[in-house]
Amino acid sequence: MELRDVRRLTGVEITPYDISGGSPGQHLGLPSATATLIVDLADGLVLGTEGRSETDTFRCCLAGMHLRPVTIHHDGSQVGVQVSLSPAAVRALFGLPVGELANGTSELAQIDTDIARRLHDQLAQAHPDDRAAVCAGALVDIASDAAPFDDAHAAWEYLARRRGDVTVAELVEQSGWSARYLTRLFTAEFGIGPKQAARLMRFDAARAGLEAGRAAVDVAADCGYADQSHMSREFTDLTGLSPRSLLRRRAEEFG
Amino acid sequence: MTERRDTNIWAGITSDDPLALRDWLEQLGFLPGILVEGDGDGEVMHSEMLWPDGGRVMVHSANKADSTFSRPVGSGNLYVVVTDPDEVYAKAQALGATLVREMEDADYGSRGFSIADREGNVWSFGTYAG
Repeated sequence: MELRDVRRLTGVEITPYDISGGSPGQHLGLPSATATLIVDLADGLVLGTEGRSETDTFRCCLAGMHLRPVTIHHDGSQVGVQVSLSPAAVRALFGLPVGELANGTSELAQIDTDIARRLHDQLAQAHPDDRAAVCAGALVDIASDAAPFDDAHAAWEYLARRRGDVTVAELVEQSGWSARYLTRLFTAEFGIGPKQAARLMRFDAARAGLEAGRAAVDVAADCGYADQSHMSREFTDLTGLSPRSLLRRRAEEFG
Repeated sequence: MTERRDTNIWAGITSDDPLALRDWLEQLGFLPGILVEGDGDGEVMHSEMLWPDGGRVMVHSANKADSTFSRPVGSGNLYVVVTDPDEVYAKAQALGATLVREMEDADYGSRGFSIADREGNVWSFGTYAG
């Protein structure tokens, strides 16, 4: 379920999941140009990050944008609701710049106890089929009208409309600021620079194209990669896997 | 006399691989500051790395269009005032950094050492603070 321009809550994608009786495994949380909110309705969400042996367990987990994959460990049953949030939606819901969540994963209760409790309670009581609608309703209730619209968000929107296929020089020209000043504004708001944001948006678009079954060579050209091997390098940088391996891995996870 | 805070001169370094150099500096104890990337692969238009005790350096790619601030790669020679040189020395060893000058206690009361980064810039760390 998608929310677009409901009380200025835009770029919100709600995905309930209810998987049981599977075998224990690991799900790859991919880098993306969105923040992620997961309300776990089972025994807690167990996350691991690269290069760390320990894992953390969350009930309502809010994660900022990250440039490396996160591993989600599960025992075969996963019940909850995943919400991907644009930076503007993070502002509208939680009143903070997504940059404050950059490369980190937080228990939502530590950011807003009341919202975390209400979301979890309402979703736990909802019938599984109604979870998307209940989640949408709860988010709309939370969202404040005071959505941001400043130069950083304008630059983000410009990048997003072009799915990241914008040069830094063009973005700077468009903004009217110097590269240095724009990057400072942008990084303060989003936690990553314009180039990294563009990489993530482009990756999101390319992955969607490949997952829809389009030919890699066409996807690479459409998304503005220099060539197919450039796209491959980007996938490996961001996920540790080539496009082909990533698709196989995702098919196994969700197949 | 008020206490001097010597953070007002920033050294600049032209680098072939600024992202790698930033990473190396971070492993030595610098904190990552602003990073303004360019359009080319690994290109950095402007960036800053901050030393926790004060001071910072700017690390950037050679600008092909405008060479005003580009210098030959590897020509940097920088001195970083540090309260605990042995801690940085241990990090440098762990990084396998090329040692240019062994740790020494100089007669002017400084304890420090020098290493070279992969591009040949020399970085000295010492307790002498003027």
